[in-house]
Amino acid sequence: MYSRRNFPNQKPNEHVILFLRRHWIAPLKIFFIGFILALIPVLLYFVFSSISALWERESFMAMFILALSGYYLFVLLYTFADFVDYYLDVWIVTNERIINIEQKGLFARVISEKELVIMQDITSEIEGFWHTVFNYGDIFIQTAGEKERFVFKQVPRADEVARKISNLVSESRRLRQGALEDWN
Amino acid sequence: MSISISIFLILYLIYLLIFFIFSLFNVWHLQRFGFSGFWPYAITFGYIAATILVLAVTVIFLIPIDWSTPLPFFESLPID
Repeated sequence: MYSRRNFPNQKPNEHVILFLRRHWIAPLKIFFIGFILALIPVLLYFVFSSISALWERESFMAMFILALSGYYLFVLLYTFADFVDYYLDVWIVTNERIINIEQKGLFARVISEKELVIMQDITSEIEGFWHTVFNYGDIFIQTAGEKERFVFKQVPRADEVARKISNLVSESRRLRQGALEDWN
Repeated sequence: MSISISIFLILYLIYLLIFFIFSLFNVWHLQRFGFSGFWPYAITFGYIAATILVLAVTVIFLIPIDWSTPLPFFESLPID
């Protein structure tokens, strides 16, 4: 496992300023969906429990138990895999760059990074009832390239984070400019 | 000739094998690429505990089953 203070490809004198994941609403949704899926067989039992002829056959009982066990194992695996997908999505803002680590399914992982000095536009968006109540949203960061490079999805206090990144970008440019002037 | 219900048990065991492989993939991903903290260990422990619980309850209910019982379809066929 990595550490929040020591991450892969860390440069000398580079330290983490912001370590972000999606708001806790995201894993709560995952576990809530898992809970609802786990309730479905219970509801179906109340519907079919009156058909006593079925339950008396040993072959039906065996198939039912195996099917139910398989279903619950599937629900567990689905919920766990969803949590792993959530947990492995992180956005790291250091004093030098922004690192975007995104897990796409089980066998795909995208890691992109850009220096702070080339960030052009930083926009935060908090839209919707739940986003407003729990204060989370998206941050869009435009680099000097043509396409939107980074999207921080459902991060807590998106407006504060965007402001902080903007200040870091300004500070980074000021330091770079100062270093160039010293060199000249 | 008759086919017993044990065929479902065999299919279930194959399903279990696939389940364990995918479980290992997920745990390995979390361990390899995750950042240390309380929640990955807690959730992994909870997942393993819940899996053991489901399997234990399944075994308890399956023990009394006579797996040589023929499938219902074959029960009604005359054997010459």
